[in-house]
Amino acid sequence: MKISRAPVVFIILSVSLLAIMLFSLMIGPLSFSPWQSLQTLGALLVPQAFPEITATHIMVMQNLRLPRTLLCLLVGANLALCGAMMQGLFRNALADPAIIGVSSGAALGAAGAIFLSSLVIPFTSTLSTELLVALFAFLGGLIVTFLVLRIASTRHGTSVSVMLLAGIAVTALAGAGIAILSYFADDTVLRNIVAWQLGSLVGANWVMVSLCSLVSMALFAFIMPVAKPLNALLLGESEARHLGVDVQRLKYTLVVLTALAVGVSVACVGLIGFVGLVVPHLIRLLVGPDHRYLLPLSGLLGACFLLLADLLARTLFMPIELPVGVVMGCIGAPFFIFLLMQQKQYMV
Amino acid sequence: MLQAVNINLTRDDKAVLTEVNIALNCNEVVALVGPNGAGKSSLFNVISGELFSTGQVLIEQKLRATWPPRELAERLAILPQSSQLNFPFSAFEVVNIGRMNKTTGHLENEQVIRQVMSWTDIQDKAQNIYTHLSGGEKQRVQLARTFAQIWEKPSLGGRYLLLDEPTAALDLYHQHQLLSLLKELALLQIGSLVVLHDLNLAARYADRIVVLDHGKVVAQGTSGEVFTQSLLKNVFSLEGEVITHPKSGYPVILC
Repeated sequence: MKISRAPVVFIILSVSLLAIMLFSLMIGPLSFSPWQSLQTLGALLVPQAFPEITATHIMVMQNLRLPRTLLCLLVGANLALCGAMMQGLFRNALADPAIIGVSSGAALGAAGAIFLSSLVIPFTSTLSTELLVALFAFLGGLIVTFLVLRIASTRHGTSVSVMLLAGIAVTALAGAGIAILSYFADDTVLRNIVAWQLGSLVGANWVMVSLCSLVSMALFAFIMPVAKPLNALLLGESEARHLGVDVQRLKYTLVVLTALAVGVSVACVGLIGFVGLVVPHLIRLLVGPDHRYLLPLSGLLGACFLLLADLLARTLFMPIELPVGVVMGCIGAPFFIFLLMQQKQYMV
Repeated sequence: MLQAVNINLTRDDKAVLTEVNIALNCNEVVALVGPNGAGKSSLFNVISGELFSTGQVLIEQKLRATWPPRELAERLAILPQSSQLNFPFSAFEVVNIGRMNKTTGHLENEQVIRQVMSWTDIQDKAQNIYTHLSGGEKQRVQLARTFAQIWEKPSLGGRYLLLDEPTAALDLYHQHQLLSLLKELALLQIGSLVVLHDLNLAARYADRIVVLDHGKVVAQGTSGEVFTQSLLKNVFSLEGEVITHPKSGYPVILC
């Protein structure tokens, strides 16, 4: 049985994650040796213990490398985990976290914030603009998600297929909104909007890391309570109800968790596609569709995946950095097509 | 006892079910028969809680809606006509989903699953991918799942199975095997309500037969009482004969 592979996959992914993290800490304009990066991490905790580490190294580690690496890890894990949850909820291996409209709502919120801050308060600091953008993105995502939920709900419950269609509709609407904003924006604002949509981890800081880690904790706390009900849901909604699952509550839990996680991720790093789609798919090929294994392993692989993409984004054309969303698209899309070709019979 | 009392259901102002009363004891197999559009599936969905109607569905004298979902799931298992599962679980894993609320240990759980899979004669396919199985094999996996769900005897009252055309995809051998299994389960206080199209199968195995036509119960009783030439004509529009099986003594319908 495929499930018996789960422990092996877990060990391999954990080791890979640690290795990629180490690489992520080492590589950059100021490069660290593996031993140096570990020592610098130690120096962050106990400054006196490693006198040979310079203040510059500590600064780079503390303010740039470490938050960026951690943010990558958390965002990747959150997006992949939400993708796995959405694929379970929609009983469709092609669903991704954006399907409920949360990404597009967040994108519209962010574009609106960038546009507004250029009009109303052109002299504000970049930091407050960044915070405003993050806040608007988060709110946009949340509002759109609740709109979609509202459209799809009747007094008898929430229809998953209406939710899917409503998600497509609000995504189109948000796209139109962004287009209008871009049309009226001047060059600088337009450039900012586009840059934000491409997704980037350059601005990683400790506030983002703590926000995303809170979200991760919430997600991981819900893995076990939702895993078995999600398995039952794959049989069909009524079958899940007959097995004693409170299907309506399950739907709300999953949608709210996803809106929260994707909203926060998008607010921190912009739009990053494909993690939520490809990662759960890959894990399903490796260990099968049981959510008790699929969910945690997706989180783990998602972290590896985004870290790797960010590493490539940073290093491919050093010293110029590519937006991570672009790298993800360039690797993710062909990889996904390759998977589809391999697994045609699996998709029926 | 599982009861549906005074069920009335309308759809688009047309009566689908009218004043339907039906009861199922935990020691019997009841067959629900009737022509297409008679309201069998609607009644089935009302009892399983998928359709809202006027009237009451009671389980052990307690309204269905007031049962805590998990306690209800321990007593009432439902096999729908077809399943939508299209994720590559193994057959064993599908049956295991039926055990989701159980706190039994891993080994005991595995034994239960093996047992119910051998009941439905699908134990050889336990490690096969569910989506690659044939229609009849899928049906037998799902059946095993419903058995696994109500495996443990609750402290009070009986257990009930609702099966919507469970024989539709099965070959003759497995049709008979399934219905004799349901007879055996009735001895263990697991009552079954089975929607059937094959009247001979109903006549041979069901303790009682409920005939539904145009949303009303038109006949109810043992196969000997229910299956008459006039019923065949009035309800099923068939010119047929009812004879007695020379060996078993059950009524046999010839058309």
